[in-house]
Amino acid sequence: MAADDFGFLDAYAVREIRRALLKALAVPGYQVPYASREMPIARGFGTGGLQLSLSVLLPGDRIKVIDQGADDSVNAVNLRRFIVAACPGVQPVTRTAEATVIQTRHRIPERPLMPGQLMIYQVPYPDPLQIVEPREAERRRMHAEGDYARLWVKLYEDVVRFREVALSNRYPARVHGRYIIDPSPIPRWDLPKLHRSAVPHLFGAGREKKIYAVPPHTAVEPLAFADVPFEVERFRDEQGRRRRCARCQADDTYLDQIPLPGGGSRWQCNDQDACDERLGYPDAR
Amino acid sequence: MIAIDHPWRSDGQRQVFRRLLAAWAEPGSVADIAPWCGGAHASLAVLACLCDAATSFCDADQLLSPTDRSRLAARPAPAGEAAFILADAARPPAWVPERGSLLAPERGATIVLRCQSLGEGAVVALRGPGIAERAALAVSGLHPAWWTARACWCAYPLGVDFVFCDATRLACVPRTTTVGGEES
Amino acid sequence: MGYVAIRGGEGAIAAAVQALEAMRCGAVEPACEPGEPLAIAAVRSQLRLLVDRVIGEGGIYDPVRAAWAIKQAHGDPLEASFILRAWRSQLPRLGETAVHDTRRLRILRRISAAFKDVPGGQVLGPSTDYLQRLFRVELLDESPESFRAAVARLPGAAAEAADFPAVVDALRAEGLLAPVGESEAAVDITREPLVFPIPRPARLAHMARGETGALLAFAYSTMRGYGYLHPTVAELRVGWLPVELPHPLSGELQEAGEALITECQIVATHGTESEPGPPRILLGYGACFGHNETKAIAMAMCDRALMAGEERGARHPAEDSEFVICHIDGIEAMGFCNHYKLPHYVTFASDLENIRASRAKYAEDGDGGG
Repeated sequence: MAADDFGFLDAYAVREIRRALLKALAVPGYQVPYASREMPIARGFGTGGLQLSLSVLLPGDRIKVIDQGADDSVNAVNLRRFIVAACPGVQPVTRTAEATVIQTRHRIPERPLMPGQLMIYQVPYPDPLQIVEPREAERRRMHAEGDYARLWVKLYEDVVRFREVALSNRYPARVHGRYIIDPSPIPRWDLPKLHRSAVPHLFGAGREKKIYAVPPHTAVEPLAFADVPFEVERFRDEQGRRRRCARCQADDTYLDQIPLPGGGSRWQCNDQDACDERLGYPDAR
Repeated sequence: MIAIDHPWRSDGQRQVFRRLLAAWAEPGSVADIAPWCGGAHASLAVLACLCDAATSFCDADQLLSPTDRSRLAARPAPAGEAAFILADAARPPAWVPERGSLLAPERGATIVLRCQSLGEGAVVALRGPGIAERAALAVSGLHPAWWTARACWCAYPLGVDFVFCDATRLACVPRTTTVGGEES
Repeated sequence: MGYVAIRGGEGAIAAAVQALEAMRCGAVEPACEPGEPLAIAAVRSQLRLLVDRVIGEGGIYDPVRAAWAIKQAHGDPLEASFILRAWRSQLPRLGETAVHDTRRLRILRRISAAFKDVPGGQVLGPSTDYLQRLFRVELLDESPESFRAAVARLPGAAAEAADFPAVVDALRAEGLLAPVGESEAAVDITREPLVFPIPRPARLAHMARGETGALLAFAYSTMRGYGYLHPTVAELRVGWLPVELPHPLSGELQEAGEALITECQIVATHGTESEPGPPRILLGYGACFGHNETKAIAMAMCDRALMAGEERGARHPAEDSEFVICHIDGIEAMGFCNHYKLPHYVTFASDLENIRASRAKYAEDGDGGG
C-alpha cells in the first residue's frame, strides 16, 4: 500500500496511531508506546503532535497551530504549511473559536475550549518520572505499580530547599486518580485547564515514541502538599499588583515579558489570538 | 483496476475513525457512520479503520464472511489472545479476553459488539472519564451477561474496551466507565 | 527581524529559504569561486564514504538517492541521512528476506587481526589504514584523463568471488567459542515500538542505523576502561552481498541485486565471571550498509558490551542497553538538539515566575534572600 494521498502517513502508520490513541484514552495518562515514523520535520520540532494531527484530520477541518502561544512564529508556520499541504481540504485558522483541531507547543489557549474541538500537544518528554529516574524500564515499572514515591520526595525536597516546588512548566499531575503525567512544557498557568476539560487532549511524543491522552471531563490534579498548595504564575509588579497586558489590559492571562531598550519591560498577552479577540480583532479586514 | 468501496476506502476510514475517537472519548454518545459503511454493518467499518496485518483478531461468533475477514488482513487469534474481538451481543461470552498487564494495560482487548439497535432497549447509566456527570446508553439485543462479564474483566487499569455497533451507528464504553445498572 | 516572529513568520521563512539556496549555490564567502553545480553521479562515486554513511544512517540502500540528499543538505551527513530516512519512512514494507549468509559476500576487503594469516587469505583492498595522511598536491589540479585511467586500475580482487570461511568458524570448531545459539527473529524497528528491554536483533538493528560518531564514542569508552572489553577484530569484511527476495508469485528466492556492506566480528577473551564451565571467547557482531569500517567495528564492540551488561547487569554506560540505544540515533539526537533553537519564552517566563515566587517567599520569611 503506498502512502495515502491525504495526511502524508502510510496506511499502516495511521492505523497504528489510531489504535494507540484509543488505548491512550481508555487508560488516561498511561503512555502507549508506538513505532513513530520519521517525518520530514526534525525530531524535537513537533513530530509527535504532527503525526497525531495527520492521523485525525479530515477535509473540512479547521486547524490552528501555535508555538509558544503564537500562530506565526516560524515553527508554527512551518508545521501548519506542511499539514495544509499534506491534507487537502483542511483550512488553516488562527482564531481559537473557529478551530476544530489545535496543535500546540507549550500553551493551551486562554479562551475556554469548546466541545467538538481536539487539542493536540507536541511533547518533548512524555514521562514525569524522568526527572527522578533515567531508565525507562524502571520508570515503566514505577508507573505500573503506581510507585510515585521518588517524585513526591523530589517535590518535598524542593519545598524544603526553595519553599516552592522547583518545577515551573511540565508540572506533574495525576490523571483519573491513577497515572501521573507530564503535561508537556505548558506553564503551570495552563495546567488547571486540563481538569474536567470539555475536550479530549491528545499528547504525541515522536522522538520518545509515546502517545497519551486526557479524555474530556477527567480529573487532572497537580501534585501538591496540603500545606504548600499548587500555585500558578503570579505576574505581580514591584507593588504586588497583578500585571496587565499593555495591549488589551487583561489581568487574567499568561504574559510575555518583553525587555525594552534602556531598561524596563513591557508585558503583554502571550496568547496572540486571545489578545486580538479582546481588542475586537483590530487587524482584521 | 478494481474499484475500492466503503468501508475499505482510506478516506471513509478516516471519517469513521474520527467519529469513533469522539464517541470513545465521550462514552455513551452515539455516532452515525452510515455514509462510510458502504452498505456493510457498522462493526465491519470500525474494524476496517483499525485492523491490519499488525493486529490480531477473533471473529468469535463467525459474523464476517471469509472475504471480509481476509480483507481485514488481521492475524486470526483465539478470543483469549486477540487484540480485537467481534462478537454477537445477543449471545453471552463463552471466553475470557486479554485484559492487558500492569506493564502493558494497552494490550487489553477491544471488543466490538454487534447489537440490534442503539438508542432503544434497556438503558444503563454511565459515569467516568469523558462524561460530564452521567450519561445514558440504550442497547437493544444485548445479553445482560456482557455487563457482568465486563465487571469481572475490568480492574483498572486492566480491562477491556467495548464498541457497540448496530447496522449504521456506534457507541463506546471503555474500561474507565462505571456502568451503573439498568434504569427505567 | 525574523526569529522571534510574533508577526511575519511567513516572510522570515521565505527569506531563510532564499539565503539557504544562495549558500547551496556557492555564496560561501565573497571571494569564493563556486565551481560547477555538483552532478549527483559525482557525489555518488567520488564522495562514496559519505554516501555510505548516509545510506547506513538513513536506513535504506539507495546510494543515488543518498547522493541527492547530500547535495541538497550542503554535504551535512546528519541532514542528508534525515532527508533519506524521512523519504524511506513513507515506503511500504513489501516483504521480508530470508536470513542471508555473509559467507556469500563478494569480497572487496577482508582482514583478520586475530591471526597472521587466515583461510582464504588477508585481502587488504581499498584502505587508508597504511597511508600517511599527507596532502596529495596533485589533487589540486587533476586531469580528467588521469582520473579515468585510475578507474581502470582497480585490482582484480574486487571482482573475484571467493569462498572465504569465516575466521570465527575455526575458533568455534576448537570449542573456544560458544556454539551458535538459536537464531532470534529479526525485529523491524521501524514498525515495532521501542519498549525496553529489547532483544538483541532489535539492538543490532538500532545500531546498524545508528550514527557512526555516537557508536564510536560508546565503543571508545569500553576501550578506555569504562567496560571490561579486551577486543580483537576476528574478521572485518567489506563486500557485495547478493540480496535474495522471494518471488511475489512463486515464493522462490531470486537474486534481486547486490548491496555493499561492512561486517565485523570481534572476539573478547574469557567471558563473564558468572558463566559456568571453562573460560570461553565471546563474540560481538557489527554490520552496516556501505563501506564504513569504523561503524562496523564500534557496533561489534557495543554489541559485546551490551551482552555483558545483559548477562551480569550494566556497570558502565556502554553496557546499558537503554542508555546506548536511546542515544545513538543521530537523526533523533540532532533534531532534539536543534529544537532548542525554537523560542522557549513561555517556559522561560514560567521559570522566572517560579524563581520570583520562591524569592518572594524567602523575603516574606525574612531569613533568606541575602
